[in-house]
Amino acid sequence: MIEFLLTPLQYEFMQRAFLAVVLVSVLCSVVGCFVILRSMAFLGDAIAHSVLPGVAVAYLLGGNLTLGALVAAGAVAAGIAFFSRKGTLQEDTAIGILFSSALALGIALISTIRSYATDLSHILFGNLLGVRSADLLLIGLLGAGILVLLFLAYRPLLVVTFDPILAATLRLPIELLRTVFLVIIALTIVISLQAIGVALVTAMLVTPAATAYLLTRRFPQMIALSALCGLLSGIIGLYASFYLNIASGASVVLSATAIFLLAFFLSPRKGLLRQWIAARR
Amino acid sequence: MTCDEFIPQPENAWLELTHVDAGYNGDPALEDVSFQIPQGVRVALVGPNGAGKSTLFKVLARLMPVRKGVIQIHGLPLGHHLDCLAYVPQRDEINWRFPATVKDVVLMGRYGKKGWMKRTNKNDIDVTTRSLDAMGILPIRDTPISELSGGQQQRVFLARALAQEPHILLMDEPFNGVDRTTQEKIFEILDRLQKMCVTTFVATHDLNLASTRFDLVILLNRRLIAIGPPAQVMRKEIIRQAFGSSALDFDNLMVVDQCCPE
Repeated sequence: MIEFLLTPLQYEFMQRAFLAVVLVSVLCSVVGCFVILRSMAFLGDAIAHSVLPGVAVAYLLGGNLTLGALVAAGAVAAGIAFFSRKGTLQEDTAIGILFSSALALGIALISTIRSYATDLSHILFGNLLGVRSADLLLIGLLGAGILVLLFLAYRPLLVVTFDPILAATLRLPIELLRTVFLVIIALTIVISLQAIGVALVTAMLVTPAATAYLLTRRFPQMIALSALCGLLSGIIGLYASFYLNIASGASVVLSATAIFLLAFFLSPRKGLLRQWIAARR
Repeated sequence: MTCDEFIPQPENAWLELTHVDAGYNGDPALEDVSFQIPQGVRVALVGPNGAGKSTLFKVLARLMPVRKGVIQIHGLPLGHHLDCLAYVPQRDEINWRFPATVKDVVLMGRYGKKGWMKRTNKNDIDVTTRSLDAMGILPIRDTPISELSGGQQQRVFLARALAQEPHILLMDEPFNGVDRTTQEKIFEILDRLQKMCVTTFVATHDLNLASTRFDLVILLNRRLIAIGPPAQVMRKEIIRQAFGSSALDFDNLMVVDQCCPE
C-alpha cells in the first residue's frame, strides 16, 4: 500500500504535479463556495473559456501565456459588464455571446499553429505533468494572494452574497465588491489553467462547493469542507491518473464528481437515502 | 445616545420629505411627496398595490435614487448617517437556502456598526442575544435558516434589524403570511421601540391593523393622499380617494378589494 502511494512521488515531475493540483484544487474549491451561492457558475465557465484567445495570442507572439490569459479574462469580464450595463441585455445573454465568441476566436487563432491539436488539448484540458518550478511559484504566490483577499473581504462578500439589500443599507460598495470578486474568479481560473485546463476548471469551481453545501449548515464550515473535498479530489485524481494512465485534469474532475455523488446520495440531512428512508417510515 | 441629545428641540421632525419624486423610468412611482414624522412614532403606510409603498422604503434606504426633492433625517440630508436606518424587506427577496444559522443572520446586523475587519466582541454578542430573545427565537438560534417557517423567517429579519440598533425601522408587509404569534411579537416590538424613541414605518394593506395599532397613518397612491392619526385619516371619503374603484362602500362598512402582492 505504502509502495503504491510512494511510487509516483519518486519522479520529480509528479511531486510538482501533486503540489500544483493540491494548491489549485483547494483554491478553486474555496472560491467556488462564493461562486455557487451567487449563482455565478455560468460566468465562471465563460471567463474560463474566454482566456483561450489570450493564451493563443501570447503563444503566437512567444509571450507569457499566463499574462495573455489574464488580459483576456479581464477583457471578457469588462465586456460582460458593458453589454449588460443598465439592463440592455440580460447578463446571461451577454455571457453567452462573449463566451462562445471568445472560444471561437481562440480556436481560430490556435488553428493557425501547426502543432494545433497538442497545444489545444494542453490548454483545454491542462498539462499537469508539465508543471515547472516557475509555474509552481506563480500558482503559490497568486493563490496565497487570492486567499488573503478573500479573508480580508470575507464579511462584505458574505453580506453581498446573502443579502444585497442589507449590503446596500449598510453602505457597502456593491459594484466594487462585484469587480473584486470577478478579479478573484479570473485569477483563480488563470492559475488553474496548467493544472486543470480551460474546459474543466468550472467543475472544480462548482463540484466541491456543491458537495460541501449538501453536508453543512454554516458558511465557514462549507468553505472548510469544500477545501477538503477539493484536496481529496486532487490527490485521488492524480493517483488515478498515474496508475490508470488517464488525462490528469479529467481524472481530478471525475474524482470530485464521485465525491459529490456520494454526498448527494448519503448526506445525513439532504441526501436521497435519508429521504428514501424517511418516506418508508 | 438618547433622542433628546440628538434633537435640539423636541418639536423637530425626525424624518422630513420635501417634494420628493422617485422611480426609475417614465412616470415617477412617487410624485411630489412631502411629510414630516416626529421621532418615536409608529407609522402605518397604506395604499393600493403599485402605490409606491416599496418605492418609498427603497428611497429611504437609499436603494433607489431620489429624482427630485429632499429627504432629511435629524435635519441632515439622507446619506449623512451611517447606521441610523434599518430596512426589513419582504421575505422573498432573500435566498433562504443559504448555509447560515439564525444567529449568523442576526449577527450580520452588527456588521455595519463596526469596522468590517474587527472581530465580533462581547457587545455584539449581547445585542444579538437580546434581539433574538426579543423576537422569541433564542431557542432556535442554531437552526439553519432553510428550516424556518414563514413566521420564523420574519422574526429573524426583525431580530437582525433590532441588532442594527436603528433610529428608524422600515418594514415592508411584515404581516404577510405570518402566524398570529409572530404578528403579536411584531406589535410588542413596535411598542418597545416606541418607548426607545425609534420611529417605525410599516407598509401594510391591512386597513384594520393600520387604524387600530398605529399612531399615524400615511395614505399613499403615488402622491400623498393623507397623513394623520388613524381617526382622522381612516375615513370613507379619504380611503376612496386612495383606493379608487377598488374600494366598495356598503353603508357604514368599507371593503377594499386588494389581493396580497405576490
